[in-house]
Order: sequence, then structure tokens, then C-alpha cells
Amino acid sequence: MKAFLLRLAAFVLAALVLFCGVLGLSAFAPFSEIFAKLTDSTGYSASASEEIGGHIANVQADDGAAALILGDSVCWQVFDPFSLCNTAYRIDGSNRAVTLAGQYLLAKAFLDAHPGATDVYLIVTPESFSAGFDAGYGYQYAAAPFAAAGLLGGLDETTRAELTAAYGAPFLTGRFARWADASPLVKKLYLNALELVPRQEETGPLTPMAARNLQNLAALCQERGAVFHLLCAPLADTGDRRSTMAALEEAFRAQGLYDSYSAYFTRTPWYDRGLFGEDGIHFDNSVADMDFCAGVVRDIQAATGLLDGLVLSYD
Amino acid sequence: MTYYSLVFPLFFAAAVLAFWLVPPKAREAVLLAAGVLYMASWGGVSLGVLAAVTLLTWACGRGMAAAGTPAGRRAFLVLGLAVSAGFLFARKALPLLAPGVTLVTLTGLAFYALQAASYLADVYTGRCPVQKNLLRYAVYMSFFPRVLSGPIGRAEEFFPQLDALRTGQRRCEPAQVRRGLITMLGGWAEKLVLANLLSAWVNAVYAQWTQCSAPVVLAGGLFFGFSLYFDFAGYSHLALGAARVLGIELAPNFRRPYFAQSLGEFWQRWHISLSGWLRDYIYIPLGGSRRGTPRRVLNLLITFTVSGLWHGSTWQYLFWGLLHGVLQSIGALTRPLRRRFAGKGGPAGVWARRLFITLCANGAFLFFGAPSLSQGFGMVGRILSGAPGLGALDLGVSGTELAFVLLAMVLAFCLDLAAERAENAGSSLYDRFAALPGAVRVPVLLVLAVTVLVFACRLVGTDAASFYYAQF
Repeated sequence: MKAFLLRLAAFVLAALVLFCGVLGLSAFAPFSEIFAKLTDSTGYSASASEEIGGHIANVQADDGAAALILGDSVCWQVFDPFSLCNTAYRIDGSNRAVTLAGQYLLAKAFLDAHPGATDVYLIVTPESFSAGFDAGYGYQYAAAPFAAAGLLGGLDETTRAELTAAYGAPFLTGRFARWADASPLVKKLYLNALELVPRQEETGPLTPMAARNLQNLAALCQERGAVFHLLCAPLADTGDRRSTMAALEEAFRAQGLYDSYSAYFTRTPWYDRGLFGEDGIHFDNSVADMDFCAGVVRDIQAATGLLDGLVLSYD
Repeated sequence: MTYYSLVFPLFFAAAVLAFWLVPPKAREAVLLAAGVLYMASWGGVSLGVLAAVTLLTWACGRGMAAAGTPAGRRAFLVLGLAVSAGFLFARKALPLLAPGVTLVTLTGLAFYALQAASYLADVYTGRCPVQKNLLRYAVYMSFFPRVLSGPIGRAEEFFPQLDALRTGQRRCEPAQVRRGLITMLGGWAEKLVLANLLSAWVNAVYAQWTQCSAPVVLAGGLFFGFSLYFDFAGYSHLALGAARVLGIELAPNFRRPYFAQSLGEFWQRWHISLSGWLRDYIYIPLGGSRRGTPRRVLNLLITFTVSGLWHGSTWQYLFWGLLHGVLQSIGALTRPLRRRFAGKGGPAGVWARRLFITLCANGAFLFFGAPSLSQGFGMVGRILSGAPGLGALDLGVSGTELAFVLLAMVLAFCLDLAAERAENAGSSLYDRFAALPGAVRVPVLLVLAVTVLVFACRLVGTDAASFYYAQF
């Protein structure tokens, strides 16, 4: 019986080793696609990494830009139409799942590549301050792309420790991030395993991680001689959004951040709810054409006196 | 806790270790504890009903044995059947009689209720002795490898094996455990590779049949039977294998049904434990084939209608049962004519008959898989209309998946063919496989195990799809 149990254990071990071999093989074409289809993993593509990886490459590009516009998906919706007609501004609105830690890293990458930069704008809706390292989009947007680019070391120690606690040190390496991007099967197994791990997620309108990285971002800009501006992205004028802003303002005051960023609350660009889509966060696509977006940007410029010289036309 | 949830291997390993490590006398207690835990994972109500049916039918068995008169014995039999099979069929019939009524799911009831009924009937007829020990009877009813979806056990097969385990006559044999584990691996492969992949496409056809082309609806309808076969045979092999690891041999539930050459033979090969139960406790007590052809036809219709009702309280199951009753009756009526051709035609004749039976069985399963009788007829109408529509690759299942499942089906067919030939030669596929050198066996098993692991990844991130028959 002992010999049988030893042989059984050896068999199980061999099967697991071979399975790991399959996982390794699943990162290479054409097996990547075949295994993705056979294991129903096609939904776990590298699109998030490609999206954020694109932003990382953009901000690092040696393009002579002097100012950077970062932000969430609302910022992207409003400002991205003008990304190609601006040379002085680097426009890279992404989305809120990047978290404030990811925005910090994007800004740092920009400032590293543009030593003469003068301004960094962060234009976000209140949700960006509550986004954290969750099991859903957090890893794909806030961790993996930056791990693959070797940028995570730029975060402060506490944020790095939080990332490690949330996702595990072996999975925050560039090698694993690239492997998971190349193999939808590996990404599926990892992300679903994350769901199984009990986690203590930070909640509230302004998480400690967001507050810390906001301060880090401001300090970084100051250190590099650039001015940091925190602006509010356009919001639908509803009771819900007003109360969300009120809660965030209270949190900013409690953290002692209000005075530094009061413009975020006093110059909020409010718009009629009817202009927004079903989610009440983004402008309806049928409304948000280039002329409309230019108008919104002009409104922000007029309210804040910032974003000077931003080109809003391809003429 | 399904057989392929993450928790099951841990639960099973713990149960097996505890079972073989405790003194033989304590093994029944371990099995009962495992059965209770397993059923508790399906909810307190399911566990409570299992406990109630167990206790009441055990008491009826005891009462029957103690009754001094035939009338008293009969009264306990009727009472016992009422709380087991009677309760089951009343539940099944209720939604038909009172539409809109929703019933709480009672996991495993359809299987253990018939098991209890067969025990009582066998005690009544003297085929098996009464089980005086409640613990042993509770193990018979709650034996976790089969409590979810059978095979429906017989007391006369189970208790002697339990006695042999309790007395230490039957020990933990590596060969037995190995065979059990390989059977389980085969069951996982049938379920995770074949059934799940095939049902992904078949379910898409059933969901979008009004937009599918006629050939696709036809293929979907016919392939439903295959997906059901791999699903339920996979489950049954898991149950058989798990029981075997625990030293108990359960009767097989499937014996390559698509190799049958008549519908009668098909039912001797498909869901054998239910077919046998219906034969022994419905068809034969009704008179079977002993009372002339008209009565035989009536008995067949009744038996298969009961089979339909057992599967579910919707009209398509009843229709499916009745359809099989009609087909069986036609088979009985045309038997003299068919006898002239029996054994003729050589291998081509054999395969032609197998193909015909496959088409009949899977044609009837088209209705079984439909969520309503009207959809079943609608699908038949669409097939006959020859309507154009969505192709096989337009249903969200990739060509890679379809190609793989077809390849796996060819492989499964070859294995079934080899098993059929081995059995006809007085051997078994497992014996022939076990006789191969280790250099062949181990790589084959490793490939199978890794394939199962890869396809288990399909379940990650989804609500683990249950076995089809668990719903009954």
C-alpha cells in the first residue's frame, strides 16, 4: 500500500508539472488562442495591459510636450479628441481603474522623460478617489501594465506593500505580467484565484491610498519644477452626484487636503443630466462630438483659468 | 458540492483516508458522517428530507418484519411506498396538476426514494432480509458517491458489501483503489471534456433554434442525446469510481447504449439502474409480457410514462416517455417480422441497426432537451421546413472547440468499441488496459489527467455547471 501511495503521489505531481507546462505553452502562438478557446478564457485578453501600456509608452515618448493631462475615462472622452492636434500638451486620459497610484506612475514616467515639463493636470471624477486594488480591474489596470514596464518600484513603500498584499509579490513581476498577458488561460486562473482570497478593501470616498498618492504626485511635481493641478471632470447635475461630491469634499477636509485642492470642488463643471449616457457618468456618445467636447474644455478653461494654449481644432 | 468543485477532491480524500484508517467497525459511521456532510452541502432541507425518508422507510421495514399478518405487512409496505416513491411521484405530478406551483429542490430525492421503495418491496417479497440496524440502513440511503444522482442501489447488493467492510473481510486493496481512481478520471473526462464542450454548442442551438438553419437544429437535436450521455455516464463513472475506492462495487449505470441494436436493448444499456427499477417494480408487477400483446403494449406505455414523469413534471418529459413507450410497443409488435432479419446483413447490418437505434433514441431526446413541448415540436417543424439560418459556427462556440469535441467523440467511440469487443470476448477494457506495460499506461493516464485539468479551467470563474441529471 505504501508503494502504491508513493506512486500515486508521484503521478499527481507529474500531472501537475505537465499542467504547468501547458500553462507555459499557452503563452505562445498558436497555443495561446487554442487554449483560450478550449478553456473559455478568450474574455481574459491583454486589452487592459495594451491600453495602459499604450499610455505608458505615450507619456514616455520624447515628443517635446511641456504639459501632461492625465485622468479617467471622462477625461479621456472629453480631451482625447484633441490629442493629435496638441504638441505642447501630452493628453493621456485613461480610466479610474488605474487608481491614483497608476496616475502617479504615469506622471512620474512623463516627468522622467520630460525634465523641462511645466504642468501636470489630473482631471478625474470623484470615483477615482475610491478606486483601489480590487480583484476585478485593479490588477489588470493598476498593477500588471506597470509591472510589465518595470515601473512599480516608483511607488512609495506603503503603496507597494498594499499592492503586494493585494496581488502577491510573485505576480507583480514583469515576467508574470507579460506571461499573463500572453496567456488568457493563465490570466483567467490568476484573476479568479484572486476572487477566492479574502481581502480587506479600503472603502470610502477618499481611500488612504488615493490620498497618499495624490500628495506624492503633488510633491513629485514640486520636486521636478512642474505645477500640479487637480481638476474635476464634468459631472451630471443630479442629487446623487452632488452628494458624492459633498462626501468627497468632507473627506478632503478631514485629511487636510481641501485647501490645496479647493478648485476641484469650487470649479466643478456641472452639466445637465440629459447630456449624459445611461451610466450618468459619461456624456452620451451621440452628444459628445468634437465641437461639444471643445465647448466643455472651454468651459473648464474659463472656470479655472488653466489649460492655456490647448488647441481645440485641427484647422 | 458537485464532483468537480474545488472542495470535492479534498472532501473525498478526507473521507477515504478516514474510512480506511479507522477500525473496520467504525467504517459505517464514517460513511454516514460523509453522507450527511455531503448532503448538508446541498442544504438543510435536502438533508432533512433524506433523514425523514430514511427513518420512515426503515421503520416501515421493521414494522413489516414484525407484522404478524399479511394485511399488516401490506399496510407497512403501502405506508413505506407512500413516503418514498409516492411522495416522489406526487411531487413530480404536482406542477402538472397545479401549474404555477413551485417546489423546493430536494437534492437526490428522485434517486434515494426509489432506492427506499425497492428495499421495501424486496423485504416484502422476501428477496432481501429486513435491515434492523438504522445506522446501516442510513448508510445505504446516504452513501455519498451515489446519493446525488444514483445509480439507484439495491439492498441485496449493498448490505453484504457493507458487512464485508465492517467485519474487515474486505480490505483496502491498491488494485481496487487504482481502478476506482482511473474510473473517476474517465468520468471527469467524459463530463469536463465531452459533455461540457458539447453542451455549450447544443445549448446554443436550443436557445437560438428559431434563427438556426434546419441542418443545425437537426444536429443540435441529435447531439443533445450525446451530450446527455457523456454528462450522465461521466457522473455515473465518478460515482462508481468513488464507491470502488471505498471498497464498494456499484452496478454500472451505462453500458455503451449507442451500440444497442434494438430499443429494448438500448434501455438495458442506458441508465440501467432506473430501467431495471422500472422493469422490476412497475413493468413486471403490471404483468410484463406475460398477459398477451395488448396488455404488454399497455404495460410498456404505463412504464415509460412513469419514466417520463420521474424525469420531470413538464409535458415534454411525459411526451418523451410516452414516445419511447410507443416505439417499444412498435418494437414488440414487429418482433416476429424483425426476427427474420435478426443476425443477417453481417457487420453492415449490425451498424445499420445501431445507427437506426441511435437516430430513434436521440430523435426522442430532442424533446427531452427542449424546455417545453411546443419548442420540441417547433424544432421538428424547423428541421422539416429546411429553413436557412445561422450556421454551426455562428452560435458563439468556436471552430476550435467544435473540432476538438468531434475529435474527442471519435476517440470515445473507439474506446467504446474496444470495450464492446473486450466484453464480448469475456474481458473488459480496464483489464486490457491494466495488462499494458507501465510505459504505455502511465503516459496515457498522464495525458488524460492533464486534459481533464485543462478542461476543468472552463469552469473557473463560472457557476460550476451541475450534472444534467442532478435536476431530477
